[in-house]
Amino acid sequence: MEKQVVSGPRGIIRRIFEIREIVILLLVLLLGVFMSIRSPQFLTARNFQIVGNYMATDMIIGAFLTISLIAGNTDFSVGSNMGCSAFVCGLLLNAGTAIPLAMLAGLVTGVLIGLLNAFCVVRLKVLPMIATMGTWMAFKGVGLMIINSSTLSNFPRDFKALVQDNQFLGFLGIPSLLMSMLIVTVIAAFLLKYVSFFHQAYFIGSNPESAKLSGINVKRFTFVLYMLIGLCAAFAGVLAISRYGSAPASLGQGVEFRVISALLIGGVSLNGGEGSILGTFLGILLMALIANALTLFGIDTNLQNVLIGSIMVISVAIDEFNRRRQS
Amino acid sequence: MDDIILDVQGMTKDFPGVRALDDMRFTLRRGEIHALLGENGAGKSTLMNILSGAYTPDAGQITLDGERVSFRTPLDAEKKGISIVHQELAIFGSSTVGENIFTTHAPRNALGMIDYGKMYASARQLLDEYGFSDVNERRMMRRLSVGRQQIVEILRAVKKNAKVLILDEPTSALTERETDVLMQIMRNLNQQGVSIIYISHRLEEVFRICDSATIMRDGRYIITLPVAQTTKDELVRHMVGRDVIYQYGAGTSPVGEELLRLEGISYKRYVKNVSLTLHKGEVLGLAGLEGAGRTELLQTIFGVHRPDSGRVFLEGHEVHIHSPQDAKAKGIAFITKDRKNRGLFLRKSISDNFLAANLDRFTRRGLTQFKLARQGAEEYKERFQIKTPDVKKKVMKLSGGNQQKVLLSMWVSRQPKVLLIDEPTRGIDVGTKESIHSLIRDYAKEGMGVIMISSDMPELIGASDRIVAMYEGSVFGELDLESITEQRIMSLTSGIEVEAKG
Repeated sequence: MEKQVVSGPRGIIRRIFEIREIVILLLVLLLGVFMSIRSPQFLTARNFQIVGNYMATDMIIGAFLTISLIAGNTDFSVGSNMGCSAFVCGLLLNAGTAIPLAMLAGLVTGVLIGLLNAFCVVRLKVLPMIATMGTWMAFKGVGLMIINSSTLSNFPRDFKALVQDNQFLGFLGIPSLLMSMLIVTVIAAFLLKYVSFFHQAYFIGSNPESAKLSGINVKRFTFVLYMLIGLCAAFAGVLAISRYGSAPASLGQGVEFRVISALLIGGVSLNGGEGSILGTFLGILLMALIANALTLFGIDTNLQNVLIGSIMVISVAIDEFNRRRQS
Repeated sequence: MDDIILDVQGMTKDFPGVRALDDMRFTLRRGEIHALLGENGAGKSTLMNILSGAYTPDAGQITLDGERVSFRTPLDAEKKGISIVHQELAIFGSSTVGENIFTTHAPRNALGMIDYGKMYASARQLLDEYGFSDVNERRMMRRLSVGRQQIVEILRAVKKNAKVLILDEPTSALTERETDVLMQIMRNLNQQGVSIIYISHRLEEVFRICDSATIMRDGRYIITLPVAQTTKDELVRHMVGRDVIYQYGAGTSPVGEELLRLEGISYKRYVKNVSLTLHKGEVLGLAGLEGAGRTELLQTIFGVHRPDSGRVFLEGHEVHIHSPQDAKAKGIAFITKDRKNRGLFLRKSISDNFLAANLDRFTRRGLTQFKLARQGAEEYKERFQIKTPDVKKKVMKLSGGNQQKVLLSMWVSRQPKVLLIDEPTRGIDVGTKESIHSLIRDYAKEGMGVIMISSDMPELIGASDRIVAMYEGSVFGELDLESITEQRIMSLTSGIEVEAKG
């Protein structure tokens, strides 16, 4: 039996509201317009930079996490990974290791944690949620152990200059963090859309059995993605300590839940098969704008968590509603 | 001309407790459309799963195009030129139609990037070629009707340029027009030299399109016949071909007054305008193929589904059943065929299971009476001869037959008026089968009305006082004790014969 086609203006509006990216974009615009009217500081270059910096590390982590989650594999260990990898880098810097080498060691740490995640999921067959919750806890502990629960500081001047003075990737007057975020985002979006290996994420997520039957190497995909997520988490960590000039013991804590909620707001489904880099970007942007608005208006920033939590649940509820109506 | 493309010899496959294939052979000539026929459980799907690399055989050999082959994975088989469209849909719901046709074989440009323009253009062309100009190649797959999804899946297999294409009951979800188109696709492919193995329960289609037919029964090869020189009756005779008739007590309990009456029950596309009557003391057998809507009919009576239309009368009064709880309260019991997942709490003890079904009766002043539950479970253990030393034993440790007895005890202990039971003896050994049927018969003698689904035809005949045959959601005929024969049931459930109801 053919489905009824809803036509006319109501049908079109309904269709538009079924596309998550558009709904979030509307929310972002609404908030943007409201803010530019109510706050003179909002539309300034300085404020844009603040919002951008706020987003950057989340987006760098969220980009490949989106691809992995489309294929149905979540990763809760990103926050601990970010911290732990940054601590490795920071300790080596303080021990006098050359800057590129220390940074590389940080990134390798991230990849190795990703590899461990993939091993637990693929070889030990532990559910991704449980496996990565395990590594999340474990590496939070490892991180705090290697720095003795204290803040690392006194990094070499040249290392801090990378992000603080925008020496790293900083051209066209765009700050390092922002530039790094844009590059990772564009690469992830391109890979997901145009490169078969990454595009497979949609097939794996929407029907893992059929994906296997049509010859997709699901195990290899899972390994590669967890390692890339690990790499990005470490990258975010290294950028963060260069920017702050220190590595607080709390570095990276809570990032995993913030990023995953932004992904869910942006339309990634925990059931797999759905989501886009654009959606994730908009989800993270929305979160940054809400934080920005609360700061500019001097409202208790804890309200941010209340708002984000509510938006997340409401947007997933809308999804489920649409799904039920369709079937 | 005897140009053989695929030859299977001595194929044997054992599953725990059952030999699915036993020295099976099968020969496919180049360029023919070959039907594979047999009852449910005859081993057709097992054979096809071996040919497409999903299962590895225990013994036997496959020769493809003169070359001995063995497949370890589906991809192996595909590379050698065998493609399969499975009975269950294997679609990617949140990807587009075009992506579903090409999956991992999407066209790429010089840089190795997926060339969406080219992909959608080829998909468009393919859809037009087969007369589906109304299907948008960019539409999300899950928004298509099930029939259209099936067509897209077949086009995906077509795209792979297979030498041998296996279609496992592809028409069960198709409309008549879509079936016509499928036949057209098959003829086109056939002219291009693709050999096709076609599994279907619809004999009509076999006569429309197939060149020859191989019949299998109980995992064994029976006969291969040229379709042009045979008749439906001959095919059915070979498919049935048994002479053992079991005696499970059909016709041994006094049939009383009317208990349950359905008038024109319909539910979605599964159940169409079904009317039937059940009397006290009667075991009514529901015959039909997989997907004929038998389970859905029982679920609708039990309130799992809300019927789109129709009326239900219980002991002469019209009732409206809104939920399973409602049905339970009105004295209807439903025993699912999925006893492991839906029927029992496998990790709990026999007495806990018994308690769960009777929680209301074993509660005094808000407190659960575990002792009473244990006594009740003990009582049924004796009565049903459940083989276990202790009712505290976990249900998962019991054999399938004993699990079924536990499930039965959970429901009959509530003394229902109507017992609906779906495949009560699937996967159960012959001895226990008999004792389950005699238990059911005992309850019928006490005045309970039973509607039973079974795909095991001799069993159904041996146990039922009356048989109602369903085909694609409708009742196609009703047979009383005297007129029941396996062949009649087979004809009715394959849609060959429609019996005017008197």
